[in-house]
Parts: sequence; structure tokens; C-alpha cells
Amino acid sequence: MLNWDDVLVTAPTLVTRESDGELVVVLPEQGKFVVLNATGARVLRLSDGTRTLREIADTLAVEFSADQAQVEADVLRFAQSLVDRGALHVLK
Amino acid sequence: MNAANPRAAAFDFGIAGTALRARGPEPWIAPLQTAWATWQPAPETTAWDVQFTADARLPLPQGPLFEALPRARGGVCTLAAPGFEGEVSAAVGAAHLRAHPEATPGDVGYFLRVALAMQAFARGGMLFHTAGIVHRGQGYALFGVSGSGKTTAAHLSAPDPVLNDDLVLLWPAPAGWQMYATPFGKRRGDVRVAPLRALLRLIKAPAAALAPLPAGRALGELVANTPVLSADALWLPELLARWETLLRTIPVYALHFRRDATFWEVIDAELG
Repeated sequence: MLNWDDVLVTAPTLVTRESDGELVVVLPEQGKFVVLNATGARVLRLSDGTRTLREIADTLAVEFSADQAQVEADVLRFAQSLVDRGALHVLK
Repeated sequence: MNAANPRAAAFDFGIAGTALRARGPEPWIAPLQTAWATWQPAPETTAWDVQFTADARLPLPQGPLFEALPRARGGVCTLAAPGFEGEVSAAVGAAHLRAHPEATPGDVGYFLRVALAMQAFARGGMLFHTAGIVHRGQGYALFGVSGSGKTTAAHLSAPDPVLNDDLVLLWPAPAGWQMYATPFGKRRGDVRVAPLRALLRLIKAPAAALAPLPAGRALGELVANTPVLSADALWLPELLARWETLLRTIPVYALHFRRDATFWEVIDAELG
């Protein structure tokens, strides 16, 4: 399980491409893909190995003028799903 | 392979702009040479050399080679499993499989398929997991994850020709793209090529219908159904770009279908 102090980074082999407002994320080692909307794409891009999960949630709450508690819940669930799929890694 | 020192054999194999020259022990090569005798490369097409070597020092195969996951990086694909060590290099334009003598012509055929996928991409085409059906002279690619109904849809489309119910070769043409038959799955009829009319993502449903497929999802699905290349992180950007290029001229839809041929009525109404 992720915690708020975890620093996330995208998988090194992950390949992305924008398509019609969405971000296609391909995981070559698994032969799988995910399609992210603008918010999901922003979470992925903020996961650059320099921010904690809490900092990512704070940034999104400001950028999208959204309720902090709701953003935190959404970010935690979404980041965990990307970690489970191998798109994000927790930086040790 | 029973003989201690089997004779060497060779044959040429190719589709569209691809060409492979397979060389190796006759017990592996001869069955494929016979089965694929009509799949000859076009004259003047430069062939990649694909060498097969029997090596009894390798462990006994634990299963067929197609169960080995291709590892691809920068145009070099490796296949490693008990009894097999293979590499396909697009840069060199050659491939080599060392295999235990207990390996079968089926394993050899699978390795040729991997080499063809690499070469096709290097030359502008794409091997594509799909049922390729020719309907009213136009090629329709019905694709989807395993179990989505490709083989069923091909069966339900009789008597329309089936280029292949699992793998076709897409090749660019001056106007659009061509869909070529391959010998890698089941076929119906003798048609070898048709102009690609549409890509249809199969979805089992109570009633037939065509629906838009969002661009991002379409792109992801198409890349995921491009064998070998989708495993290559360095070639993936080019693969994504090539599919995007194709999608500028070829429409893609979600095809909801049930186990009857009524899906062709909705296709004809929209695209016929």
C-alpha cells in the first residue's frame, strides 16, 4: 500500500503518446496499455521522482480547484492502480 | 529430429515486401518448405538470413517456443526458453535460433513468424493480430483480446474469404493500406490480399452495432495487438506513430456482435 510520503517515478520502459486529448501509456514488458484522461496524465507527469504523493495531491487540488479530501482519495487510489500495473514505481 | 547429422536444407519465404531465407536441418525445414511453398517473396526483395542450428547441449524443451515471451529492444528481439536461444536483429538483417534437436518444425515456424514481424516493421508494414476478412472485395480487420471472437466472427462470415483468422500483414499502399494473408492461422479461400477498409474492435453483445472507438483506446488496442513490436520500448514510439498514420486513412470502430452474421448488415449500412 502506498503512503503519503512515497515518492513515485514512472517505469523506465514506459512509452506514452497523446491522442485526441488522452494519454496512451504502453507498458512494453507486459504488452499492455492504459489510457489516461487529463487528470490521470497530470498525475503520471508529476510522478517524476521529485515529489511525494502528498505533494502531487496538493498540486492537483490547486490546479483543478478541487476539494482537497476528494483529490487525496482519488490520487491515492489512482496512483496505487498505476503502481499495481507497473506504470509507476516507488522510489526507494 | 532423429538423424544424428541431418542434411541441411533451405527455402525462401515472404509476403508483400518481406523476404526470409530459412536454413537449417532438413527435418525442421522441409515440412515448412512444403507447407509454405506458395508463399514466395517478390523478385528482387532482399531476404534476411534466418539460420536454425540444432544443439544437443541445450536442455530439453519444456514447451513450444511460442510460449517464450519475446524480449525486444531497439530492433533486437531475443527468445529464450529451455531448449531455445534465438535472436532476431533488424540492424543486421539476420536471425539465428539454436534449438535442442527435440524442437519441432512448429517451433521453427514460430521463430520465422517473429523474424517476419520484425522485418515487416523495419520495412514499413505491421504484422497484426486480427481476423482478416474480405467482404465485397474490401478487407476488414476484426481484432480484440484473446477470446473476443475473432475465430467465431471469421467462421460466421462464410462464404467470405478469410485471409487469416489470427494474423495478417498490413502494408502501406499508394492509396491507403493493403491487408495480406499469412499462413500462420486458419484461412478460407485463395484470396491473398485486399484493400484495408476498416478496423473493427470486437465486443460480444446481444445485438449487432457499430460504435465509435475513442482514439486513445483504439491506439492502445492496436499497439497491444502488434506482436513482438509492442514489447520493444525503443521501437514503440515509431509503432505508435505508424498506427496513428494508418488511422488517418482507415476508420476504426467498436463492433458489437452476437453469434450470427447480422454484424455484416450493420457494417454494410455504415461502410459498404
